[in-house]
Amino acid sequence: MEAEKVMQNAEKSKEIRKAILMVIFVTIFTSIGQLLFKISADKLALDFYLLITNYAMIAGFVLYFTGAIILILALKKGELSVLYPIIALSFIWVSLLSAYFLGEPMSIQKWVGIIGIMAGVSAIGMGSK
Amino acid sequence: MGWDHRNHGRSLCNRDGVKIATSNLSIILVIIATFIGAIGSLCLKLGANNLSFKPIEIIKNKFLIIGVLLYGLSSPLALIALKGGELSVLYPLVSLSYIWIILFSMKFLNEKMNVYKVLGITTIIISVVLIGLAA
Repeated sequence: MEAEKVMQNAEKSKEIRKAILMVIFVTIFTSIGQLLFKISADKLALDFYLLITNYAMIAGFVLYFTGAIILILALKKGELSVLYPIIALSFIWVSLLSAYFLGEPMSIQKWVGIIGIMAGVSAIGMGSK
Repeated sequence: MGWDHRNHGRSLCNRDGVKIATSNLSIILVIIATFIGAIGSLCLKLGANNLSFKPIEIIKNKFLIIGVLLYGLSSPLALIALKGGELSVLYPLVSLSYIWIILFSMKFLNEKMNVYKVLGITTIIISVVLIGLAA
């Protein structure tokens, strides 16, 4: 029935949109996790006590793990060719986080690249409907 | 924001003000890491399609398990590989993974390509290369 088909497509679009949002969150989690690993790298040692109290590293693992679970749930709802490129957003988060927390320099090229990634991800998002 | 002026005037391909030659090992590692990551993502997708929430079913879900392992392996591998060389060389190789994903999803997942996806991924690849050149 036509009406049923329209309803089904609307449901599908909602699911895909949810999946895209979930992957965006995953990229934020993994980028913060990467930053935490970078910060905790100097405290890395094979000492059990030092590892347990390396809160930055533990937090990094938790973020990565949570991100993986959300990613799997998102992949259930959407296409890989749509969701995977969204991971490119981590380049944006890592650039901004490194600039703010680690003092790495920003440049026009980086900003242009960031805008390009946002444009590309938006285009792919439109290609999912 | 804390602007770092230590590298002012130096080529933006330097790492911490020291010119690093990108070792062949780094290049090979990045290629392997991104390829493993792409295959891992493919397996995650295949596993997610048949996802069940019962622990017994999850363990029996071969693609899911393989996907998690490969995905978990590729991330630290990529981080280590990226440390060893200039991002202007290594980022473009990372963006190869998007091409892998397009090929894999067309061949193994029957996903259709359209103008938006192709244009979008092309823009992303160019942008990643640009950010790599700027780093």
